[in-house]
Amino acid sequence: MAKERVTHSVCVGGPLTIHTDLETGRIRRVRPIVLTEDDAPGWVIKAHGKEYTPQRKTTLSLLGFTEKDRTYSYDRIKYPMIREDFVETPDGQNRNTENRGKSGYRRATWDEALGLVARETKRIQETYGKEAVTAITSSHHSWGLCGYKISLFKRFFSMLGYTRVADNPDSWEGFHWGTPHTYGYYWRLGGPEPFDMLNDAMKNTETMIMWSHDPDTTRGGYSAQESALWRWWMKEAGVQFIYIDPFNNFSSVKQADKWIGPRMGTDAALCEAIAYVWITEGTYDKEYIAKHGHRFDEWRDHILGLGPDATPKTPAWAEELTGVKAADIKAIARRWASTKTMAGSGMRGGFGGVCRTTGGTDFARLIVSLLAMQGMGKPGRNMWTGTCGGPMNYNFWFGGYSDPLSSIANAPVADHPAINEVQQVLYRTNLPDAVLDGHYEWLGEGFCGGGLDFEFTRHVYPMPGCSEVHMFWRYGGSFMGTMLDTNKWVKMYKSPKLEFVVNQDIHLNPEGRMADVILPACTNLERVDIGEVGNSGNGGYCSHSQTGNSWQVIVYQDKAIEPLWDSRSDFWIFSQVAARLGWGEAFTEGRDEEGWVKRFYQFSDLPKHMEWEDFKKKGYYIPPVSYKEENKDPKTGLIEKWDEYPGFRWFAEDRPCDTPNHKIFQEECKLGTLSGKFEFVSESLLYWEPDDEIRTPIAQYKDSWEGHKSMSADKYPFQMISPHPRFDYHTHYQQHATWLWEIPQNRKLVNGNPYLICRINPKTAEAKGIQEGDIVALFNGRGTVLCCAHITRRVMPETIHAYTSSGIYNPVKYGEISADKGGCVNILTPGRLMGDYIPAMVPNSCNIDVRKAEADPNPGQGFEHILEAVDAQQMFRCEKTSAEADWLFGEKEAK
Amino acid sequence: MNYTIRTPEGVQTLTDGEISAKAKAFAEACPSEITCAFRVWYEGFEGYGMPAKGVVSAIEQGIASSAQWTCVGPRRFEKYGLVNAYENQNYQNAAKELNGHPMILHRFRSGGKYQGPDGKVWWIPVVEQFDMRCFEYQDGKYVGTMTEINPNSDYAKAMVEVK
Repeated sequence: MAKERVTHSVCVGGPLTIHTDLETGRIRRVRPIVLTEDDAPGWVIKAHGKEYTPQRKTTLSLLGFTEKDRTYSYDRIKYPMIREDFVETPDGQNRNTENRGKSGYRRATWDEALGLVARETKRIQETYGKEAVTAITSSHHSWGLCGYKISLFKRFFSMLGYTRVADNPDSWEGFHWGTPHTYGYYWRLGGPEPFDMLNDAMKNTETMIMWSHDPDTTRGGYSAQESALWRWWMKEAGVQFIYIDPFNNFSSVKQADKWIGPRMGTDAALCEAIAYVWITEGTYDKEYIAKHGHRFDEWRDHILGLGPDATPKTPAWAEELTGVKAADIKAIARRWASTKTMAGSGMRGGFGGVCRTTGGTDFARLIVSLLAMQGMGKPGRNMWTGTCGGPMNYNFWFGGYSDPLSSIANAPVADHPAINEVQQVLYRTNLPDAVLDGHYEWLGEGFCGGGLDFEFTRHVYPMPGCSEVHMFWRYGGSFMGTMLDTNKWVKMYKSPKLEFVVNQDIHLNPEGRMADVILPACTNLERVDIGEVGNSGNGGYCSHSQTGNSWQVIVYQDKAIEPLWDSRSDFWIFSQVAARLGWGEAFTEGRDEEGWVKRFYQFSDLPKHMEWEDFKKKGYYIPPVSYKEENKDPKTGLIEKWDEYPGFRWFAEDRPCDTPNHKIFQEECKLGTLSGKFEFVSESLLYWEPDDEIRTPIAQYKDSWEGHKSMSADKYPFQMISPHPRFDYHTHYQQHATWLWEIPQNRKLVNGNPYLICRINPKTAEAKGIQEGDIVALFNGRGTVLCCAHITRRVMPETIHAYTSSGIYNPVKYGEISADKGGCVNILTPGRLMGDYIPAMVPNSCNIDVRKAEADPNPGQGFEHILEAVDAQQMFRCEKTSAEADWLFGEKEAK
Repeated sequence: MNYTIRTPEGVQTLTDGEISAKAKAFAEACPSEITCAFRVWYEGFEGYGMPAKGVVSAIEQGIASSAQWTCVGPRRFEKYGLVNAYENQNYQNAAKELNGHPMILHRFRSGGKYQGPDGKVWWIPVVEQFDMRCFEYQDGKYVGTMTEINPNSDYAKAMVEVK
């Protein structure tokens, strides 16, 4: 066997070693990191007569295992490209923008492409003002503190001056916009304190309630499925698992002692009925509530039907709304109250599909209220879903990606911080509306970790005295797949208002096809960087998410191979544009990428434990948990006791907060609410927006504006559930790693097209004449998506399941508002925000209908728009013999 | 002037003088560096709903009547937005422990600059758990690498905030 070189890297799917063949220069394989004897000692948790200790290797999710495939993927952008009918007119007009998405491209040199980008940037900013340029990144298409979006991207565009596009917390909207009004934690974006919950749960917890939570699916990101081992250990130790989800998800089918499938968007009613049982049976922690609850009595009255609506929230009342039998509701409530129970909704406590419904904030606030009623923070009772909270040394400091200290845009990593002088902002979910309409108003900062007041700041686009945007620089990944009402994005791209569109990416993602200039970036494996798996930021948002892993792994991301084809690192690309704009030296501060990476090493605790050259050579460092020598078993070498700071314990015990990432008022034994307690009637909502009819001071079930009782249900009677995907992360994997298409639960190849699997209940299938494997059309007034039917009792009869962010957008007519056969179900989801005062997206409040589709009239139409790019090397040209819309059932029938 | 207010103790009618007196007592027991009428209302009175303007005025009079607090005009609070604020003049000397537990953020402001007994000025961007991470600050620049200072050490206890 030829000799190989081993390097290391980290991606959203875990830390990895890369084995590169020295003869061919090709990557041979990727593997998990196997720990050596000189790495940190392990730890052991002993409970129920069993022991749990992590295996001495890191785990790698299926996403991580695609890193090699993503590097050599068929859809890599190989060369700089310019749209072939793009005309560099001096006034930015008549550029055939209507052809974006249809036109072919020609290969360009780097000099030509970068020169055009620099000239257009300059022209547009001189003509309209700096704010006329806007740019946005996706999340996690690459990993590493230097190359990450809040670092490199932020440095370049802040120095340039641009209209920032605020992200929305698209994965956990309900928690972000809801729970801060019940228990504070706005600085954790609504998430709870998971610290040291694993040890607590393994020793004390008897019941786990996994509400709209599929950890075996979603924990491929950030924790590489490491926590699956924890949950299995608990299951084997006798802990009961109850799964509540309209889709009997992949974790549930393997692990649930009981699966409850409520009707989509009715979870809040289920919460209220559980509270009703506890209140009427007296089975909640009255002492805890008396001490730590605020305005509980009013909420209790509301639950008992003594409030303005005069409706007792009985299990029978909830049965009618949720479809869950009253007896089951009582059983859940009694089990929860009579055993030490952990509960939550999705990773870090707050993710999960139910948070992305119109009732998302109500549900999130209610589950916090339920947990408070059972003494949240006492041993074994907490908000925790078996996904974070592994032992960690909190006093080892290495920055995460959202840490202000861990960005080349900020001091001290940069000698001169980059300051964006443009105040105007846009909002991601409604970027197309703003561009197309030329005006948009909304409330909130997107990520509101800076304060409760951030949720209520008023924005108007364009800002008075500011220009609209005329140039769009899209960096990494695709929102056509993750953002809602996808066809709006198509319309936006075709607008002549966007005089110039740049796409800088590794792969030819759906939005790449909409650009005037495409700049090919290289993967993580072709450049250097430094990063820690799962570390979103100790001082940033959702801190300490790396506790979803058993090991804290900080990786020197060495270059395994040189950049392929004409691709370059993002740092190189931005440096080149900056140089052409006249501030290249200021941008780099004279450092290359390695120079920046070393700064991150220096500004961490790493130098105390490992020399720079040793770190580079070994490729990673694992800090041990904080322990005393006498607590290490001399025989096994395992640490049996370490410094622990269980989440919420401080609050339950009425002492100053001792958990990391805390606020000053927590040291006065108070939560982040206005009263400092669990608020059953929210004072912050009464303070800020008392008239909001969606997010009311008392959280409660409300009929959705798009749900089973809304008017559209007459026409579109099914509710689509589109949770976070099992075989993708955002849109970063599915399109690039074709072996994922061969997984029967993911896609089915029919006539060359990998149709996304949608799951339909047998009753629905029978009524609609749909057989297993049929191509079906999911449709509503917003569009049509073709999927492959899988008939299963794992979804309720009124529900149709199809994973969101399919990663593939393959319209029947390129560049048009068209049916899609890539599985981009967000074509169907509503672009409307959760409420006038809540700028949240709600993909799981989506009414659709389903019908069997005719056979594909255009067999073979799979990915030629991408494959041609590979074949021709020159560029892809789309001369589609494309299907006509009339082959679709509806139009054909109309004829 | 009488005001009817709602608290966990029920509906009460208090004069503005009584409200001021209660506000002053709460403020003087507050270990924070900064406060405002809303904080006193929600945490001190455990008040229900938005306080009436007259109640806010009475609370502000109460805080202002304490020698411990000085009005510093509008400041942004993460919970209340931009409101009239009061600064604690005894903050440096206030107790930094509660029931024997250290209050690290009460001792060291995240992002603040402090001078050590050796004359070195430190920027403290990380105050986590019971350890801090600091950068030495010289001539308007951060020099050297990240330094760990234990906030319970004698060195840390001798550090003084510099503006």
